[in-house]
Amino acid sequence: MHPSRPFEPKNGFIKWFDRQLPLFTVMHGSLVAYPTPKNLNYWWSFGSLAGFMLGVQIITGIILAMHYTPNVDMAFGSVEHIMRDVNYGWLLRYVHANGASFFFIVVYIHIFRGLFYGSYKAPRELLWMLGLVILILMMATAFMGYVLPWGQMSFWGATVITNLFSAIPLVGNDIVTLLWGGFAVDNPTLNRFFSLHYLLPFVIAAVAFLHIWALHIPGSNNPLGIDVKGPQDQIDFHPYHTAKDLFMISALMVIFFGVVCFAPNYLGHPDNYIPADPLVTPPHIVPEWYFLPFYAILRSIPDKLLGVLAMFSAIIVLFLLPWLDSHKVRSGAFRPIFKQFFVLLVIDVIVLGVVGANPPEGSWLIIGRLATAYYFLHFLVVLPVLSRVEKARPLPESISQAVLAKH
Amino acid sequence: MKNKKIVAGLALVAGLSLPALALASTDAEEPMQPPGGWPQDGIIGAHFDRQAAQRGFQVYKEVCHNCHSLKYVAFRNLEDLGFNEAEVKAIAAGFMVQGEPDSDTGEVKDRPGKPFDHIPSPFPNPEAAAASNNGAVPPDLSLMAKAREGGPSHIYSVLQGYKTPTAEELKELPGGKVPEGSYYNPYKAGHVIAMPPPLSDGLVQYGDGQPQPTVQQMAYDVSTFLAWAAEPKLEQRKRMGFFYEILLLIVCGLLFASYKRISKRVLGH
Repeated sequence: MHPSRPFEPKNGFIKWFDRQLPLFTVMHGSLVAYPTPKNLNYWWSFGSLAGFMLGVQIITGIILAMHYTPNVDMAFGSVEHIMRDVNYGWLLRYVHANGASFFFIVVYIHIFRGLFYGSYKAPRELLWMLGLVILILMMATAFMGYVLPWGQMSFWGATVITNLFSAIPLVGNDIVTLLWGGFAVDNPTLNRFFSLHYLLPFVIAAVAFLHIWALHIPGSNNPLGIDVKGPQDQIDFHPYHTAKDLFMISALMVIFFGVVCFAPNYLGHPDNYIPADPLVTPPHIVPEWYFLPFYAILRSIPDKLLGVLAMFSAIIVLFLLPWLDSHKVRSGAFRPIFKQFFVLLVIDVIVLGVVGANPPEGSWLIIGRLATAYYFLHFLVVLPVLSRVEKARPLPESISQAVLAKH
Repeated sequence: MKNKKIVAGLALVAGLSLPALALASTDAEEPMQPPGGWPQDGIIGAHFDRQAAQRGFQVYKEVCHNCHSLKYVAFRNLEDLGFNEAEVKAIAAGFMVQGEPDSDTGEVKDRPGKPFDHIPSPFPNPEAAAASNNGAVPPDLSLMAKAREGGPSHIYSVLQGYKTPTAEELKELPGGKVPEGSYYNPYKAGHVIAMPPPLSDGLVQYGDGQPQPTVQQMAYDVSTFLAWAAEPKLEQRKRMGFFYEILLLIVCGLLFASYKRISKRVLGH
């Protein structure tokens, strides 16, 4: 998307700077005069919200790292030091711990928005895949971050998850040893997890930069899923989206800050306030809520290797989505059958989350297996079939025409 | 070192196989709330009952501290509960803590505690703690009110939950009996607890004008104290939350109005 108008600075310094390095021109073109479809709804703000949460996590994380000690004998105590002695340390830690959850909430909504409106379809396949890379990096970062307080769930979560890699034939055990830095989850594990937990957010930021770059080439998709036909379909990012996104950020803050101040441990597990003990296994080892659907898929399959493969496939299949769903119409709003299956997918993922939080036995196991089966059926069978047979409702001529008809 | 690895390896195998194990019918019972609930719960005006917390500290000091440490709490923190500086000094001086090495001889002697000291552990090391307690280290209580489902209500319930099991209840236990040296307590996961019933009516002498030291009263008091010990910034957090939530709602409203205005101007709706 080319800027809607050229950058014409009046300030002498900016002119001089921009001649040598067109930083201001780039910012103007992508934040001010960046043309966006006129009809974006509130769901389109979640990308900005995700960027905001990444910023919150990086800033609070950097300050927390100034007070935290990555050593098995001191990590737990240093977190308590943050909670009790560091000025507003409790606030920093609760914002950071709940911030991870809110980052995932926002990103999951962002992903489902893309799934419904077909934002993964040409010409945005690469944009979609870069987003999935961010998701994978987020999962790795969040997992390692949860290990740092060195509570019981930290330790046993790390043990269970790192052990999954031992299912890989031939090199599995060597990989696990490498992850651990020894023969059990111990101090070297904590040290490398801390190092990587500090590194990966900056990798996320870099991929997010590519993600935004890839977005700005074709420009945003929109709720109608039809291409922009000209300037009459568009509006500049500033001031419309700046104002809209700022409002959405403040609304997110109301909810986020409410949880931080009134229920900061609601999303956590009480066992993580017990210091890690390699000799005592907690009765139920459960990952953080944002991993539960994947955990349910893992446990729905009785074979370890196949379970691990299924779990990773749950994300891999999303990389193939642009080709699995080859229906010409992007937006789910014009695909009546797709729409119903989409609702089913949302329910399915929520069910998987509930199953993941419960022990894999009795009816939970059966529900988990059915839900896992549907998850893959949806992407591998339902969408390819619908691509061929579903007749979409007629699309409007243009965005501006649809907007005019509505107002 | 080798032993440690083997043990860790075994624990690991146990950990991996555990999710496959069946759920016991001896899950902890839903904990009781004190009549009227906890004053530190809720959104507006949440506060610790300071009188109860002070009495609770007395219960901790005279009863729990015989076995349980409270290592993340320093004496100076007790000022939060309404003890004044002189009282905190006196409380600290009542505990012996490990001193600093003597600058001439290097000898380490115990000395009376000072406000900056943390509450000393009743045992010199975990091995000594285990040796005096049937091989199990009594857990540190600093975070007990956050480390169990139910929080302070869990502590409150366990302290009052000791009872003689009925034949039905015994049947649910592995082996059909309470193991030697353990006690029946339905509020504990597994319904068996190694700690002997710690409280009995009148065990602690409360000062003048204070309530009768019944088991229920002492359980309430010490649970309040431990709730504070686990989350000492709770009052500040909730006060701040209330203030900033109002502020954020106003900011949110203003930003919405400004968005709508801009939308009207640039989009026409």
